[in-house]
Amino acid sequence: MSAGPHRGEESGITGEAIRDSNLEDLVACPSCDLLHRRRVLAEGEAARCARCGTVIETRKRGAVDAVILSSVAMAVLLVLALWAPFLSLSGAGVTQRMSLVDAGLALGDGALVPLSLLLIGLTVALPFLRALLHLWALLPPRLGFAALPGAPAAFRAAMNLRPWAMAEIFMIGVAVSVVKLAGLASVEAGPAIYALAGVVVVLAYENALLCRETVWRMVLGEETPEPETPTSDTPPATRETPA
Amino acid sequence: MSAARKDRLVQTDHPDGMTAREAGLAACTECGRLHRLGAETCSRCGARIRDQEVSLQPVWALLITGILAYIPANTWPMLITRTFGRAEPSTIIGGAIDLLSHGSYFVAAVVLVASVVIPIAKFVAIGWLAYAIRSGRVAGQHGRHRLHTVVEFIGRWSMIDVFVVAVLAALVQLGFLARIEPGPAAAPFALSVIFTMLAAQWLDARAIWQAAPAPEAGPAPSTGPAPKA
Repeated sequence: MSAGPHRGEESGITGEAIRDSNLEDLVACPSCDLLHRRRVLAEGEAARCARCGTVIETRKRGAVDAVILSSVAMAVLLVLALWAPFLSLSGAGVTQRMSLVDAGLALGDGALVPLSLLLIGLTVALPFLRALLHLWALLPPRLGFAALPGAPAAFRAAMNLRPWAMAEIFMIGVAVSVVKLAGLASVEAGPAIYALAGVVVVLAYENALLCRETVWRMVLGEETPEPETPTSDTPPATRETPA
Repeated sequence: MSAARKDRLVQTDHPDGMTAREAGLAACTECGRLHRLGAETCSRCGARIRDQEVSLQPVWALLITGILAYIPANTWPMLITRTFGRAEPSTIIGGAIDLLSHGSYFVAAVVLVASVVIPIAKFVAIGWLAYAIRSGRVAGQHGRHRLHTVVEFIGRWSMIDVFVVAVLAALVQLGFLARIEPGPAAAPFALSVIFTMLAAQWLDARAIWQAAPAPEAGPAPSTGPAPKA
């Protein structure tokens, strides 16, 4: 483990100073709680924790737009995934076509109800709900209107629901099911499978771009501080902004 | 700094290598805004400020429930296949062995990893992390922090087998010729995954670092800013 060069001796802030300073100038690592002095990022920069390396804040052009657009895409794809045929199974002279809604309804008897609720809930309902919550919290402020009531709570809920939206895991489950059925019947993929595959891709895109701090600023209608004009000591080769 | 600039990553400099907690502050777990210790709700986003020194009891309770649920999940049948009126129950491991015997080695491996290796590794990992926090272990935070991230990321993937059961049961309803029903193990298995996911979430990553020395020769906690308002 190399000695970290980022002790920040130059800052020399004492505990006293911290307690008296403006807390908005400081930021704690969400993973390990180490205090850092906040600093305005330039386009394309990411701030990492000096101790554990967690990304604290990023600044990417259009990060909020990306979340809004992928939420719209996700909602459309999920509606498709819900009602379009999902898999069709033919064997012994019978063909069965199934959509996720059918799956939910077909599992109507007794013990299967919780299972079908879990299936629809984790694969479709939760991702759909997250998309709606994102739009509720982000769309009005992005378009220049006042935030809707409950916007912070909506965005909080969307963030907390993230691990429970399991479309991608469901896709793997489908693949395993198809292999298991190989001996019994022939299985064909329907359009809903492709819609769900799209959901997985959109989700990954959104996760890659989502910066909590940036989005919170949009939700709460706070200004994103502009970086000062790049200082002359920055090597020009590493600057992204075109002249 | 210019080396850090090249890959467009910036390490913010940190004053004295002190945690927010040591400085008498608490960060909102939802939006990140810092508050003086003792604040109850976040002045920025309205969330409740969660104390990182939350007791480990819920973690242990959720973990033990997850482990207990995992036992019937493996001993009871997960799937019941009825062909021509003959019922054939199979457990999770039995299903994987079936796949092996049909030559689907890769899929069998996926099922085994998702349903057996990951859950058991997760039980051990969460137990170890909670134990290390409780006993205030000083070394190895980096490794344990990574372990925590991995556990949170990978735990969800155990759900694969539950989805397999649901899809098969919904799809295979070919009258009396063939019918697949979920077995009694499906519910405890799903619950086991859910409980351990909750246990991992409850375990606050910041607690892993509480006993850590500040990077390099930062001030020892005792000489740090002890006074609390």
